[in-house]
Formats: sequence, C-alpha cells, structure tokens
Amino acid sequence: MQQDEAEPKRTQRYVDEVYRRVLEKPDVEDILILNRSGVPVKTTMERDIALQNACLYDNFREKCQVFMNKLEPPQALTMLRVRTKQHEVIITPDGKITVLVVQNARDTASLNTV
Amino acid sequence: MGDSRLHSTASASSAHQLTPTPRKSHGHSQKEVPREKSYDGDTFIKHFSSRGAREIIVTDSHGKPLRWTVPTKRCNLYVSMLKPLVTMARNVVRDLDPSDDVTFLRMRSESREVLITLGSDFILIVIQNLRHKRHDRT
Repeated sequence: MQQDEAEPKRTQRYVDEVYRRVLEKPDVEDILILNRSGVPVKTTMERDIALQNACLYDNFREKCQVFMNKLEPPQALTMLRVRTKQHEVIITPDGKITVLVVQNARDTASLNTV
Repeated sequence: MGDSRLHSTASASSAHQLTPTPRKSHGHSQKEVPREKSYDGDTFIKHFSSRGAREIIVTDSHGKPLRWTVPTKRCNLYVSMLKPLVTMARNVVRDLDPSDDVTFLRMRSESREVLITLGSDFILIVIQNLRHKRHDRT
C-alpha cells in the first residue's frame, strides 16, 4: 500500500518500521497508527477499542491544531501529550500518518534513565 | 512643592492622602513600577517568569485567571481557547476509562510549547519558546 504524494513518503514499510521501533521501547503499552483520514492502519489494540481511541484522539488533535494556528506566529502541531493518572498518550502527526502511542509513564528519575 | 505636604503632619491640611508611589516627591527619577501586576506578591510566579521566554497563567478550577504574566487581553484570549481544550481532553480520557483523569497536557510545535497542568483546584498554563536545535526524526 503506497501513499505517494508530496514528501515525505510514508509507505507501508515505513509504517512497519515505526511500529517495530516503538514497540521496542520500554513501557509502551499500545501503539496505533492512523492514516490521513483517521482510520487505524496498524495497531496492537482490539478493533473496537482502536477505533474509539482513534476517533476521540484525532478529533482532539484537530482542536489542538486549531489552537496552535491561532498563536502568533501560526504553528503546526508536532506532538501532543496527554498525561493521565494511569498512562500517557503521545500523538504525533507525521505527514500522511498519525502515530498514537499509549505508554505507562513511570517515574524514572530515581533510576537515572532518560 | 509637594514636600511640604509630606512634612507637615500637625497641620490640618494633611488630610491629603499620601500617594503610594512617591515619584514626584523625589528629585531624581526612580524606577518604580506604577502598575500592579497580578502576581506581585507571588514569589513562585516571579521566579519562573524571570526565566525568560515564558508566559504563565494560573487559573482556578473553573478557568478564571488568577495570576498571569501576559497582558490581560491575551490572557483572556488564551484561557478562552484553552479551557475548552482541557474539557475536551478530560472527556476523551473519561470516555476511554471512566476512572481516569487528565493530569497534564502538552502541545508542541516547531518553536512553541504549551504545557497545561491540571491540579485538583487550579490549572497552570505555561507557553514557552523552544530553541532551534531539535533532533530530526527520519
């Protein structure tokens, strides 16, 4: 499945690579990759949960994007982090895809790892 | 001269109230801040606002600004745009897990970052500029 247009190219291989690399990181619980229209392309969650997450967070990301455009100077959102009591969700719009990662944000200050 | 007003305590004409900023009574020009900022007595905000390139807004849990380091108009503009975002984030998180609640929200762009901390009875908003170096992800 190639999604080719202006750069950057985000092909299926790229998606797989992102998927693999993020899952290697510690503390990652779930990953969800959306295509341009917000449909989940690759995910570790179950289908209906993935759809629900995708829908809600993509909507929220749109609103944040609108806010960033209202700042001066207007900026494009590069990353969005929502920290809750139990986990942390990182949303990264990236060209044709959006990467959504759910991770468990432990306090690593005592472990001296960044 | 205005000095006579300050010196005469016994005279009845000292019903004049002494102004709190005695700029005009001194000979040399003093660098006294005439307006009072909303964070005047707040050392916490003062400490952080002096770090440069940061805008800090503290609101109560309803979104009413309590302390701000930006001009008031801009503060109200920011709060009016960010409060719905905070509510929306909260709804999103609650939809997915009813026992969960947002503690922190971070929006990042190329040169700006907006950090929102949600306490139990306050909301802290920090808008800061980022420096140029950033790792490029390929």
